[in-house]
Amino acid sequence: MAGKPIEMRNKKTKEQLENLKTQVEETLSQVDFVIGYAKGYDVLHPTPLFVRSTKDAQALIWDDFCINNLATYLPSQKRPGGLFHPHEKIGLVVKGCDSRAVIQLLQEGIIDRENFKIIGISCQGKVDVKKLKNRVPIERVESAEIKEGSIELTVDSRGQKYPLEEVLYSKCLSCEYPTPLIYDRLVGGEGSLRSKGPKEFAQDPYHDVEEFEKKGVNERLDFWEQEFSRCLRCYACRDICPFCYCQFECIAQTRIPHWLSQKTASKENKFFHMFRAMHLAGRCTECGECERACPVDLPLLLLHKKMNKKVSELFGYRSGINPKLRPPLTIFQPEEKNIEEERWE
Amino acid sequence: MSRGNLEPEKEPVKNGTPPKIIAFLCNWCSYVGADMAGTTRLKQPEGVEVILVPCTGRMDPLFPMKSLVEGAEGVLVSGCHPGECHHQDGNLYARRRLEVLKGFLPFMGFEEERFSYTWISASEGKKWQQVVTKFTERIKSLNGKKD
Amino acid sequence: MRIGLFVCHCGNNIASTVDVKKIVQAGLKLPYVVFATDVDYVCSAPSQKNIEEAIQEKNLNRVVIAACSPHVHEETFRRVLKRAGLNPYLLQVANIREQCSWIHDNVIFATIKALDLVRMAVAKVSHHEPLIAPKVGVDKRALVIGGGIAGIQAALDIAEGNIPVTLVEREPTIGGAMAKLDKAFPTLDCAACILTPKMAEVNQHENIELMVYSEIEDVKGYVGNFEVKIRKKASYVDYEKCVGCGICEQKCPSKASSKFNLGRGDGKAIYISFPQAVPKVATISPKHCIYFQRQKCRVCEKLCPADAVDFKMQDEIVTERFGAIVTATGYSLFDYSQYGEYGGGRYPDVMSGLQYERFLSPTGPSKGEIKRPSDGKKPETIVFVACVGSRDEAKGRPYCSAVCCMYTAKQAILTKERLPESQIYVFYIDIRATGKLYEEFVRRAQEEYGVQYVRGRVSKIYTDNGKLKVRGADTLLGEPVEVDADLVVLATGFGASKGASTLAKKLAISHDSYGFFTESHPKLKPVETNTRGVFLAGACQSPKDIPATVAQASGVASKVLGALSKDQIETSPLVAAVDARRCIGCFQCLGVCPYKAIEETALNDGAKVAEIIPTLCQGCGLCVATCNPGVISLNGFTDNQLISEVEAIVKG
Repeated sequence: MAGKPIEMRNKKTKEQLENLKTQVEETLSQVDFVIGYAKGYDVLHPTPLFVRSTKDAQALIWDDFCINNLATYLPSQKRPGGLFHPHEKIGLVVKGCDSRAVIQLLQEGIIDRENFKIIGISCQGKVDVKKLKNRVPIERVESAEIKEGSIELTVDSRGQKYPLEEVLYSKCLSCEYPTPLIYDRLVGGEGSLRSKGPKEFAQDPYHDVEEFEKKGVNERLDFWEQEFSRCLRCYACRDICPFCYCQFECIAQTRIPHWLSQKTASKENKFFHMFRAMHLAGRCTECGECERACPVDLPLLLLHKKMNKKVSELFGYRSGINPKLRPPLTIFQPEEKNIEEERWE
Repeated sequence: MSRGNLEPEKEPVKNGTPPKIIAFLCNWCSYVGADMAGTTRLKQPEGVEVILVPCTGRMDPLFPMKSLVEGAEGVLVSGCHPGECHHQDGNLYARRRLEVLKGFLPFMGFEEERFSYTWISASEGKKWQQVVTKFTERIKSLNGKKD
Repeated sequence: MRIGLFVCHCGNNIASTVDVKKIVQAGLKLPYVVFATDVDYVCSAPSQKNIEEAIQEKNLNRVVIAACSPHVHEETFRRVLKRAGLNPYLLQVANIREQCSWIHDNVIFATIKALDLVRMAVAKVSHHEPLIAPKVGVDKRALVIGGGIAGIQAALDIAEGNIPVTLVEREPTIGGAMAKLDKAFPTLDCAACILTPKMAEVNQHENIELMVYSEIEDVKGYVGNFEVKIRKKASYVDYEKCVGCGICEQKCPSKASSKFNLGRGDGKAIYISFPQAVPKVATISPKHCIYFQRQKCRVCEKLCPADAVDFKMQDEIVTERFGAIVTATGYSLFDYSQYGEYGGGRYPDVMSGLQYERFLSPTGPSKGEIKRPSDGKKPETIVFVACVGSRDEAKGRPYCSAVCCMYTAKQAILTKERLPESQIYVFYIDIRATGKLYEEFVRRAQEEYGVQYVRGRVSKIYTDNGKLKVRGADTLLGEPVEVDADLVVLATGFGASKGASTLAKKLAISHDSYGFFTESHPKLKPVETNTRGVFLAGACQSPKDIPATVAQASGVASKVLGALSKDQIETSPLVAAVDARRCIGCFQCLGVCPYKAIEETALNDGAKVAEIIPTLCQGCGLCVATCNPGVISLNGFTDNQLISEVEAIVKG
């Protein structure tokens, strides 16, 4: 299944880093800073890096764990009092999946194209640390490298090896856009990796939704009861989401309007995640950052994928592809050809 | 405040308690239609409680969602027929949003029969009666299945 | 917060199925309710006085009235609050009559539900805030759309009230359908004789500006402040210069069918609709004009003594401001070719009632002589078929067109007067003759003029040996009937005017499934629409005859004069507002607002936020439902108000 293309992956990734550094340095002349990735507290957890000088750029990394969707930072440009000064221009390192978030934000008019530069980088899939966690004590991982279609880890000075398809993010296994859809500069060459790498594991992106739909309605009810009873309402899912740019104004916490209390009762939690899914219907680009951020591992992407699947069935619309379209729930057609209304006569 | 004040009388008919259904009706058409059903004394199930909205365009899908999560047994939304919206196209926006909601609710464990939206004009008192009667029957049979 | 609750018995209407005393008892225990009482008729004058006193004595600051539908008396009770010194919007009505006592039999369930409704109202009213109606200035000018008898009458009556009126008509002349009539029932006076003086008056009135051959392009704004774009269509004749001499029409070498005569009779590419047209000016139809089609001719241009022909003329769009708008766009006739079995459109001697009217008219294609179009012979047997496109579910026209019975009787009489020897049959379903002197008129046709009325539908009309065979049934005798006719007149019914639904959209008014505009209340607000400042007159609202049309037009004029009598008018305070401090500036609301009532504005810190112009907002709430952070609230229907109602139901 894997074989040669995967070998290439690794080589490419290393070559890409050098190219990336050059591109970031060049971009610095056009923007105030560039956001990329740096080594985090261990090899498995890269962290966002704000590069303001060529010296900073030396700390940049690009490896199989750089999962963060850096587009999340973009809406901060919009409002004074945000994360950085509204006049500051940003450069952003963006993977294929993240580029859909950039397009969706453009479509929603939340960012201005003149105010940021995109350094697109072709990606071959990232390793899901949560999947690794079930296999190794990840806090003791000393090094990790992809070779020959497997990930090779050194844990407590001993080598371990797992097949890639077991440890890549699920979204990578069904990735359709390994090359960014929007960029000012591209690292890794457009489409050069498209036919290889993750494509070989290709799954139907909504296979998990379909599986879940097959369950009985009571089983589904119980499933969510149980899942949401664990929710801490820490709002990490919301805070990391590129489209939850309402931030402090989110109706999860307001009194006017007062949609829900701060009780972490299952009912309240359920309504929180349901309305969040409604608000993201046809907007979520399925980057999965909510799930990654969730400290209790709620299967949140399942909700958002279900919404997107419905929106796509009804309106033939996919988020984050075309910046010129309008979000499907802010428009209508006089005749909706895919909506079959209930007849009561 | 609870229904407890009426408890003594309520007891003997408890088994027949009509299911609690929330209906969001547009001020310009369906609410008037429901009034007309009243004026012409068209009998209806007692569990349907109407919330007046100025247009189905006001229908944030969160209202039906909240109603069901909080324990309503069914939710109905009714507005002006497509093309006849008092506020131009509010009902057509609503149709999209409510249709998405309709597709989402079963995923969360609510039977799809518990939510519906429809169009009832100011002159369709009879249709209103039919819709609420059928909808109530539908909810009753769902509840029957559950027990 | 101090809420007062008043529960109405409505005589027996509520009290027979709802235990009103129990509602009062239970109501007293609801949060913030400090006073509750039951009242026999809460809307009666003494009860209103009692509420006022209770508000003052008990120091109430919110009021819930459990009674009939808010659509019936909400306004009444708002005035009660106002008289008691309370903001009128601190009221909530629980509809325990139309939506409770009248639809239930079981006293226990009905009482439980009534209490639910009261609990909802109490919960909602506790979220009410005092609201102040915004005031706007008024443009004291009126627009009347449509120059038929309805529009003419409305324009004249408004103009007499000293309000300037602009009358817009899409045809080159005013007069509408009435101008095409020969005589009017039931008095048989000459339609032109009573109409043309009014047309002339419109033309001469100092308060009326006439814009013919013009259409409404776009309407913005609200009562008192409409901004209307009007398209003046290119007529290729300068109406200012044209003297209406008609030389152009005489000499024009083109051939066209006369639109005014509904396709019966010849016309020209340059034409004056009829001799008494107002304004009496010529218009060129490019579709028929030889110059427009083949770039040759220009005879009219050469011969025009006033130098009025202008082939380079373009459509022009003018923008005007009005305080009130009257739609008087009339009707269109049912297309008789939809009854294939009657042969309308295929047989020249089968015609519609209005076409026949043109043959009866001295200004029509036969100068008032009754002739068969096919061979010009005098018809001996004439059959009238009633209800063609009326009272027929299968054709999507279940309604009665209100005038066909009468105009058929009129045309039968007029025919008999001119061709006393002729045999006349009228096939009908029922005779609807409900107006003043109408029944007598139909009887005259039957008894005095000997018109044969046959009760039954016609099933088929076909030609045989130069005759039209009309086959039907006499349902009174229960026998099939067949008549050999020379001429058949189909009494075609009324439909909505062409383009009615487009105009409705521009005016933000609604129409029924047939396209007739919807009045605000079928009984009590017959000329108002649901858009304040837009009114209805004549057949655009429903099929009606001339007396009813004129009455409605005069009614509309009084409404317009009333609306424009004040210097300022109050608009509804039930509008949306943005909490600017919380707005995240995504502007999704801006894209959905149907009234263009939302603008972008900047806060002191430079943040761009949405702002709603309250006088433009019509309170639909679409923006509220679109705003994810819930930053927009709609007065009277805030999220918290609706949530409180939901919670009152489910947690009750």
